[in-house]
Amino acid sequence: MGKKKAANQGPNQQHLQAYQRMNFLYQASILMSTTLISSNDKESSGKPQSLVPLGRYYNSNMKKIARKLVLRSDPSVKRVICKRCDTALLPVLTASVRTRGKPTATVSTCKMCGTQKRFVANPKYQLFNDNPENIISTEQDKS
Amino acid sequence: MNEMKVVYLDASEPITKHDPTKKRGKRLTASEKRAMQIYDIPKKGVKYELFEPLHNLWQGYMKELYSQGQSNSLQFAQKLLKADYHGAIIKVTKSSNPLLVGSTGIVIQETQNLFKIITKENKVKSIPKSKTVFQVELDCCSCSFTLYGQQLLTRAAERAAKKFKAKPTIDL
Repeated sequence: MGKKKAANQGPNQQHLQAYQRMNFLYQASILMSTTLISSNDKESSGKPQSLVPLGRYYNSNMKKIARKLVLRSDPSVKRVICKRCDTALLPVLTASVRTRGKPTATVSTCKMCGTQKRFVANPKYQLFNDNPENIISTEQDKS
Repeated sequence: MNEMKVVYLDASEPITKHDPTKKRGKRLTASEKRAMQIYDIPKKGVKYELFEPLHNLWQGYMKELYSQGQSNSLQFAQKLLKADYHGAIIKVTKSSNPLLVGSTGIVIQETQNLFKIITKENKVKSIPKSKTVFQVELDCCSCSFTLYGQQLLTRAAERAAKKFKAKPTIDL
């Protein structure tokens, strides 16, 4: 999650556990947001409900841990979390994604609270974390 | 009538209550959170099967934690204190409330004083941490750990940062 400058070796030993915990919470929140509850009641509206509230709870816990221990999260993780209500922003379920405006930008709108995230399409823009010089090591995918 | 003259305080800017249609803040206020019910679990239709993938994810997380230390189980117990319990299957072994003893389920929410679990009967139960002893089982090392709820009376996120001191005796 946190990639530091080439001078450092990576996250501290003490923070490593915290990062693992945050990683787990993030994955759990996305898992919960995609879990749909099928209800057979007539009272329920046509739409199937999902466990998004739990996903929000896990995301907010993740953010609290980061705030407490002052840990930096990767932008790819932060981009999937709504800044206002901590919902996991998944394209059809919890967010509507459109391309708008000039300069063209991908706008992701949270269905819960309406806050928008704009990603302007700039081919030259590269995140610090994506810059290959700044990546110390990449973890191999363990099956 | 001059003595009965009313003096008006300057009220050029009337005090307005917070108008939700106007300027949206960056963060949600507590009352907005309650109104939106953003952390509330849907009451109908939650089933135990839905949370089994979460439990598998938790087992994977524990396996990762366990495989890193590889020293005696004492050090791993330290890691457990800072670990997350969402998705763990916990069992109540001792409690001051006899009705709670024997309850088992997957932890779905952890707050300062409670564990909210979902049992196999698809019921969401709130189990207070105080004066309760829990048992957690891990697949990776096939051992079970005992958690004293009284010592864990902190919010889930704050436990990640909290330092626990060794105590001479533990009583419930």
